[in-house]
Order: sequence, then C-alpha cells, then structure tokens
Amino acid sequence: MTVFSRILRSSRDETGVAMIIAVVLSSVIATLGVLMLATATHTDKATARGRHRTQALHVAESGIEQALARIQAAQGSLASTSFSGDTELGDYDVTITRLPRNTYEIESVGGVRRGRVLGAERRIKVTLQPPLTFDKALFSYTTVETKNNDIINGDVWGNHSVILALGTQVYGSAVAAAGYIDIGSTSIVDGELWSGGYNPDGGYAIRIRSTAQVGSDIKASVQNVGCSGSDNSNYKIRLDSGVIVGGDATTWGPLVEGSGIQGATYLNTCTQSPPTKSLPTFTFAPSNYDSVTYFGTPTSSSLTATTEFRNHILGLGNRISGTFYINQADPVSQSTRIDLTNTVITGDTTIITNTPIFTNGTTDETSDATLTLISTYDPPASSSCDVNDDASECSMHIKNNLSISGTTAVALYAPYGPVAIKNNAEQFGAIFADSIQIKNNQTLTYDDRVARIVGFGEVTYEVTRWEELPG
Amino acid sequence: MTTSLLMLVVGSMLGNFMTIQRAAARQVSRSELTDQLRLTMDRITKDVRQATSVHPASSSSYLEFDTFIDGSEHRVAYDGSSGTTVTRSLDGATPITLLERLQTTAIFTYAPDVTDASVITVTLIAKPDKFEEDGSDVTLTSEVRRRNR
Repeated sequence: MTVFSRILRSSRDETGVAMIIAVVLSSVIATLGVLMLATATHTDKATARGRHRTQALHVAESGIEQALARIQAAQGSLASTSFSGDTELGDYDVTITRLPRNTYEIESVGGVRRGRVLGAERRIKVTLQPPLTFDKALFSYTTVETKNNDIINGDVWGNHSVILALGTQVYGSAVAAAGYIDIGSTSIVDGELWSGGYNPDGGYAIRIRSTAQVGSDIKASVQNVGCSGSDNSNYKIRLDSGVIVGGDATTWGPLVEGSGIQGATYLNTCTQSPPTKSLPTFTFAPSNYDSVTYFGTPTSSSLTATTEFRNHILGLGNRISGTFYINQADPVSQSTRIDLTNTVITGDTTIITNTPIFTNGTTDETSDATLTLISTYDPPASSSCDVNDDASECSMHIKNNLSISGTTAVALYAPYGPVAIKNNAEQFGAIFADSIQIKNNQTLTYDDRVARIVGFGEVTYEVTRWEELPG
Repeated sequence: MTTSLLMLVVGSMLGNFMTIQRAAARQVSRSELTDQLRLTMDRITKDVRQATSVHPASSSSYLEFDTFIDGSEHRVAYDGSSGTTVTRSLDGATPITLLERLQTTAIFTYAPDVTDASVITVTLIAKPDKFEEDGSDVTLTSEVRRRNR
C-alpha cells in the first residue's frame, strides 16, 4: 500500500463525524431553546407582575369599601380606627382617621403575594366629606335685594330677580335665573350678569343705572326653548349714562341707551336661560354631631324650648359652641324666636330650630370655627318681611354689628322664609334662603369652610378626593 | 456518501434553525414592545384614574387633565398627535417620550364626553422594532373610570 493510498483511505474514514455534527446541532438547538424559554419566562413574569399590581389596587379598594361600610353602619359617627382584612386575591390594611367637620380620611394598602416573588403592594387614600351645597355667597330661592353700599365677595344667585341697589359691590357674578337684574347707580359687579326673565315694569331684562360698572359679559336670555312665543320687546338691556360693561352684551331684545359696552353686542339673539335651582335639603341626624343639646326633641316640641335655650346660653355667660336643637311648640312666631343678642361664638356651633332667629351684636372669639344657623320657620302666608322692622315676619333677622371675624365662617339657611340683614354686619360664609334682603354697609365674603356642611344634600358623605400614594 | 447525506441533513436543519432563530428574534422584539406598552398604559391609567378635571382641549390624540401625583395636584398632558410617539408632560415641562413606533392617533375616547368624562378608554397600537413588514402590530386597550368625578 502506497503512502498516497493510506492518506486517501484515512480521509475517507468518517468515524466520529456524526457525533461532532450531533453535538454542534444539539448546542445550537439548546441555545435557541434557552433563548425562547428566557423570552417566555420574561413575558410570563411581566404579565404576572402587571396582574398582581392591578389586583393589589382592587384589594386596596376592597379595603376602602369595607371602611365605607363601617362608617355607614356607624351612621357617620365612627371614631378613628384601623383594621385589616383579606380577599381571595390578597390582603389589606386600612386606617380610618376622623378629622374635624365631618371629614374622614381612609388609607388602604392592598397587597398581593406580599413579601414573595412578584408580589405587589398599592396604597390609596380617600377623603370623605359632606356634599358641596353652599357654593355661592348669596343664594335665594326667589329674590336677592341689597341696599346702600353693601359689599359681596362671591357669586349671587336668585331664582327670580337680583336687585343690587345704590353703591352695591359684587366681586363675583350675578344670576337671575327666571327674573331680571337691576344694578343701582355707582354699583360694581366684576363678574358676568345673566338673566332669564324680565321686569314687567318697563320690559327690562337687565337694567344698569348711571355710572355702574360690570366687569364681564351681560346676557339677557329667555326661559322658553328657542325663545318661541317670547315678545322680545320685554327683554331690553338698558344702560344709563356712564355705565361701563367690560365684556359682550347679548339679548333677545333691543339695547336701550347703551354706549359703554366694550365688547361685542348681539341684539335679538336667542339664548337659553339658566335652569332654576332648588335649595339644598337639610336632614337632621344626631349621629352627624359629636353631641346635641336638645330643647324639645325632633319628635316632641316644647312650649318652653326657646326660653330654656336662652336661659341655657345665659347660664354659659352667653358664650356658646356645640350643636343645639330647639323644637318650639305652636304657636311659633317672632315672639318665641331664638335670641342671640350679644352672644359670643367660641367654637364650631350649629343651631337648628323651627323658630325665627334673631341676632343683635353677635360676635365670636375663635381661631377657626363655623357657625351654622338653620331656621325652618315658615312665615304666615299673608305676612311680609321688612328689613327695617325687627318684628316683621322674617325667618332670620341679622342685625346691628354681627361682627363675625374671618376666623369664623357663618352659614345661614332658611328654606321657607326671608333672611334680613342690616347695619354694619360683617360676615364670612354664605346665605341660602327663600329670599334675602340686605341693607346698610354689609360686607359678606364667601368662605369655603361652609361649602360642605353635614346634613345638607342628598347624601351624608361623598368621596371628595381619591388618590394613589407612593408605595 | 455518508458525508453527502449528512450535508443534506445539516442543510435542512440549518433552514429550520434560521426559521426558529427568526421567530425567536421576532418574539423578543414583540416582548420588548409589549413591555413598553404595558409601562405606558400603566402610567396613563394611574394618572387618569385620579384625574380631578379634564381640560376641554383634550381630543382623541391629546389628553390634558389635573391629577394627583404623590399627594399633590399637577397638570399632566399626554400627546399622541404625531402618530408616531406618545409623550407625557408634567406641569407644562418639556415632554418625555414614553412610547415610540405608535401606529394610531385615535388613542383616547371619552364617555359621555370630553369635559364631563367619567370613563376614558385608552388604546395603544404600536409596531415592534424588528420585522415591521410582518404587519404584526401590538394593541393594548384599557378602560379607566375616573374616581375624582
């Protein structure tokens, strides 16, 4: 055998080649398999992580629902507490904190597979408060009327008309949903004017008297949809000499004597009036308050309720705070009304009564408080309320230097009768009443501390803030 | 003879290998895109869930609203109007790109309407980084109910 033939033979020897190829192929396939397995595992983990995060949120919300149920079961008088619980998906830890003025904060931490691989935890905080009801400085179910240099810092709403006489200053808007607006000489309204009806005496929807100023648009709308059947001669806008309107003027009727409109003018233009609004409803529930002092009870009136209340507060040195429920037996009248003459408010105070309320020289000594006066007095049908007559049939007479400092916000609520205010009252808060008369240098500044008062509105509490906190 | 047969087998396996390798790369690319979509969606839904008000300028490709972030209120805007990216801007600051290769401008739908939206549906459609010609867009949809409304 030659050397050449030996080499040729050995080169044809294929022993072991299959194994090499098998090893190489196996390596390649194994690498690919590992790669695909890694991708699948990653996807699986990412999906699981996402699922657990979503589940943790749901679990935390379960904790919130459980807290709401507990507050509801306690009729809104639950003290601060903490508890834990679990669902099929995970567990939660909840802390309920009761804050002043019927505010609850609920913090819930929901966890799924806590402390384990791919576990998730989410933290949410919910704030519960009474619903928003007192959202304007003045709200009248019928008419708002001011006289002589009053200052209103906030919005004014009347379902019927808004009459702002001589020198009134409104730093907000004025709406007369189904009536007219009459702005007196030298008055100022820095927001918009919007009317939905007209004054039968002259056929004016909006009248702005000499040298008065309006900062924004004025609009005279019509209640009838499409203004059908509405005589546009009744929807005049009249601007006297020296009047300035900072925005546009729009009316279904004509413009009379107007030259101070700085924006555009749209005459004989049909716009829909704002819908009239109801006063917020009030429901008394003892559980809404830390404690209530009764004179008479909700189910049993007393012939001496107001007298006993007056003696009670005089016994306290005419300095009061807390919640008082006074149910006077018939005949309820101005002679059996709640008298807060020279009373000093020393903390959060609520007075709920079926009688008229009279204040004279009432003041406060607080650092941060609210005063809520609720009178469900319904004056006799044939009677009238005269701001100049303390004995006239008003639901509330607020008189002579009601000097409530900015540290106390006041809410006045009289759903069935007028509120009359006169002589140098200074108030921070809101007035919601069947009608409102204000006279002689009153200053009212809207204060949102009375925006949400327990007992008002359709529900006791609503969620006012929902937020997710960092884990 | 044996070598030829082996070459044939190897050739055929190489074809399979190429197919599998291509599929693996495609899978990785889709997986990366899905991760991006998930993160973007998670960010949007978390912000929208606690939105207090939706700005009237919002549209199907642009969403601006006030929301809580770590306990304080901020203005957040998501913008997908370019049709190629989704950006997030906080309090008017320079937008940050959250998602690339977006394939739609119809991202947000509002029920019942923009200014009073109680439910905002977010739809993200994007193309993977590789194998775009496959036409295999990835779509993620989430319906968010606003809690602060």
